[in-house]
Formats: sequence, C-alpha cells, structure tokens
Amino acid sequence: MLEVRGVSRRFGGLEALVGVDLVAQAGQVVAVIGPNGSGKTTLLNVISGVLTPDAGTVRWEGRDITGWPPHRVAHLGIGRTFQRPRIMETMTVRENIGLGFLFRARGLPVPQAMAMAQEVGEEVGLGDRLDVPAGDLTYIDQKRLELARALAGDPRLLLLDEWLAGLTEGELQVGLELLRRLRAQGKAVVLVEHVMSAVRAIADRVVVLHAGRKILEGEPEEVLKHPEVVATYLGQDTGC
Amino acid sequence: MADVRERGESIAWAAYFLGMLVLLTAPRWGSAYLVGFCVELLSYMALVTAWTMFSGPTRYFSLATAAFFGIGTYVTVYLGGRIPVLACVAVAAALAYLVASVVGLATLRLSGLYFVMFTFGLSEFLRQFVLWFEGRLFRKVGRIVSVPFSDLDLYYALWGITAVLLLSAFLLRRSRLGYALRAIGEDELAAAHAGVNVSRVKIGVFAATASAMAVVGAILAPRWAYVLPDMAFDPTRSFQVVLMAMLGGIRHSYGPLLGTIPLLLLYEWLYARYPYPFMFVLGLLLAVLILYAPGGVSGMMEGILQRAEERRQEAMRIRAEELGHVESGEG
Repeated sequence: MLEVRGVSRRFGGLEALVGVDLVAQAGQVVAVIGPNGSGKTTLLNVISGVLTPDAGTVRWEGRDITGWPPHRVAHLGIGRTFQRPRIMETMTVRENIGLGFLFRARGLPVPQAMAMAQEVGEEVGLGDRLDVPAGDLTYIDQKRLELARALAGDPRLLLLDEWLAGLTEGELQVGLELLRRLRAQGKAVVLVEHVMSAVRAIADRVVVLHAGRKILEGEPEEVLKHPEVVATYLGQDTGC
Repeated sequence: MADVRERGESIAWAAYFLGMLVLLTAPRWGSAYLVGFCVELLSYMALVTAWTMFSGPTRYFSLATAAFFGIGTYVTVYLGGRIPVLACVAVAAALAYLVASVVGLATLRLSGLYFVMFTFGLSEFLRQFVLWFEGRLFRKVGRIVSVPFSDLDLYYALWGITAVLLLSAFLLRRSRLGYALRAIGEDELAAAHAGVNVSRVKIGVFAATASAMAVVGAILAPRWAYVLPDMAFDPTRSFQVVLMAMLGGIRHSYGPLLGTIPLLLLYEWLYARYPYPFMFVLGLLLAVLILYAPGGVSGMMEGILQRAEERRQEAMRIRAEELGHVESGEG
C-alpha cells in the first residue's frame, strides 16, 4: 500500500504541494486530476524520488521511503512513466524494455533480460517492432514502450503521468483494457490524467488537486459531478 | 539496421585484436623508429579507449585525460627507483581513482559544458600545483627520471594495459554496466527510474577509466629523460584524445580507435614539419568533423554498409518480383 501523508513542496515562492494525502491499495486505480499547475506531476515526483518533500512522508508497504533516490524507489517495485515519454532513442525497443529487467531489484543477466523483453513488448502491442530504434516509434508507441519498461521492473505500484492523453478512441480502449489487466494482477496504479472519460471508466477513487492542495476525494461518479469540479477545473466538457 | 551495425562492429573488433597481435611482435622485427611510433600508438589507443568507455556512452565529455595521465607520470617520477615499477603503477591507479572519485562526486551532477570546463580546469590546476610545489619545496622546475625499466619492459607493459582496456571495452558493450552507461547518456532520469544507480555508475566508471589513464602515464614516464609539469599535464593530450574519438566516431564502441591511427600519422607528419600551425589544423579538423561528419569514420562506414544492404535487398525484391511475373506468366 502507498501512503502519502501531509506532503508539502515549495519552489521558491510557489507552493507546489501543501499537505497532500494520498492512499493507493493493491489492485486499485487512483486518479489524480486537477488543472495544469495544480501539483499533479510534482506529487508523482515526490513519490518516485525525483523530489524530496519539504514536509510529510511517503510510505510504501509500511516502509518510510521519503526522499529515497529514484533507483531505490524503483527497486521497491514502483514503476513510473512521464508526461513526455522519456525513452532511450538510440536503443532498440527490446533494449529499452530490457533495461527494466536488467536493473530491477534482482536484475537479470543481459541475455535473459533481452529475451524477457519480447514478452512484455508483445503485451503492450510492440511485438512486431522489437528491433526498431525507439526514436523511430510514434508518440503513442513511445508511451507504450515507457510503460513496458516500467512493467519489466516488476512493479507493484505504477505511477502513470497522463499516459492516456493523446490516444484515439480505439487506442484509449486498448489502453484502458491494459490498465484493467494490471489492476486485476493486483497492481496499484496512481494515474495523473486529463481524459475524464478514462478516469470515469477506470478509476476506483479520484483525488482532485488545486494549487497544490487536495480539495476533493471520492468515487469517480460523485467527484466528477461535484459542482466545483465541473465549474472550476473541467469546464463544461466533463464528458470528453 | 541492427545487423549492419553488428557486422561493422564484429569486423572492427576482429581487426583490433589482430592488430594487437601484430603490435605484440613489433619489437622483434620493427626498426627503432617504428617501435617508437608503436609506443605512441599503444599509449593513445589506451587513452582513447579509456576515455571512450566513460565519455562515449554517457556523453560527459572529459578533458581530464591530461590530469590523470600527469598524475601517473609524477607518481613514477617521485617514487620510481624507490619502489618497483609495478608498485608505481598501482599507486598511480589508486591515486587517480581517488582524485576522479572526489571530482566525480562534485562535478558529475554538472551537465554538458560545465563538466567539460571543470575537467579542463582540473588538468590546469594540477599542472600549476605541481609547478608551484616543485618550485616552492625543491626549487626545481623539472626532474630527471631514473627508473630501472627497459624500453622493452615499457613496451610490453604498455601493450598489456592497452590489451586489458580493449578487452574491457569489448566486454562492456553488451554488459549490464554498458547498458547502464548508455541509458545514462540517453536520459539520466529515466535510467534512474529503471533502477540504475546513476551516481555510482558514473563515478565508478569515471574513476576506473581515470586509473587506466594514470597507469599509461606511469608506464610511459621512464621514457622521458626529463619531466616538466607542462609535459606531464599537457592539455593537448586531452584534446587529441577527444579529437581521435570524434574522428573515429563515438556512436559505436569500435569507432574511436578508427580515428587513432590516422590522427597519429597526421600528428607525426605535421608536428615534424609545421609545429606552430599544428594546433590550428587540429582545431580546424575538429570543427569540420562536428559540422560535417558528427558520426566520424565509423558513422560514415555504417552509412556505406547500410546503403549496400538496402541495395542488396532492393535487388532481391526486384528479382523476386521478376520471378513472380515469370511464374504468373507461365501459369
């Protein structure tokens, strides 16, 4: 279980996060929504170890991991994708995925890692492009690749930063199906997302951030219907 | 594409190992001039290989080669004759490892240009420090090197470290560490999130390759009758190593060595005839390389192999089509 308690983080005069709480259980998808600049990515950065919070704690499976560096966080079974896919462009798709196997807690030797990469590549729909340089992939495929690399790390918690953004309706359904499968495997997912139809379809809980503060939390139906959310953060277009 | 790259790599590495065997026998049949050239060649092969192991994949361009080489040289200068040469080599390696670790801890968070400048500054600092130290404490500028180490011993020791470095570079390519370095070069944050201990890998490999550079300096020191800080910490050495690597191409593990022989020959020829415009020519060469052939010789080679492969496949496709027409015509 992921347990974020009272996390605050400031950048100069800007309060990016103020006393934020977040809990994600195994087999649960928690969506974090809010307007741009509300602190969603900062929250993921605090959990994955990119940033150390000024106050508050991050606990994972009972252990206090506040301020741990990203590689140690990764070794605990926490995988991450980024808003703009961060892939290794000159490496092949197989090698990119292989990195996850190579450097996870009990990393595999190179031949096994590269062999296992095939399986995960196929799972996310990149089975036919394993030997293509990752830089040649489309934007959507790069997102898939990033998830595949995270999955290769054998995560029990996935932090996905706008992973479903920019997908066509068909691709969105495939993406949602993949997330459902991961949830069914017992993985916890924290999903920073703008695509409200996806949030409604997949999230078990929704957390709303505004100006670094958590202003609402609850079931998707109830949160997304909340007048404040509708009016202030999502405009009229809640069904998008 | 991957096939073409692997084929180019295999050919180049096979040639290097064969070349090393030839170099091993050179003192038996070569003239004194040729053996002297081979010493230069081996030392630059070792320095370029060490430099490339770290700077190639991580893209942290170090100009500290002269610093570590100089550390090695001065360890032999100070301790040679008092302790065995092998012990000098060990001390040089340990000292460079220590210096590089401290420097790495402080600077490997710096990116790009700042790292380049800092490493260049380190060489200059050490040069000035030794000048000051020698002048202040011993009232000396240079030192005579008297170490019981024959030319042949020196040659084989240099061959040994070069062989070890080549083998390490060869094995590094497809190793976990090699992948960690490449991942760091591509995207440090993503590498860290994949589980790579970025700081440890960077500092460890920077320090290990610094040790190797110091070993080269320590082994070569007896060759100089008289050593000055300006010679041991000569910044040209750092630039030449980068230039050789760039000429060969740092996108491939085998690339940098391809630049070593041509540049060394150019160096010999130019330096003997035109010692002053020499640096100008090197600078011009670097500018032309960056502008017109950023992939270096290996990049161009891969391009040629790639085009040949495409032509071959196109010819096969046309042939298959023709056969198809014939068959359908018959049917």
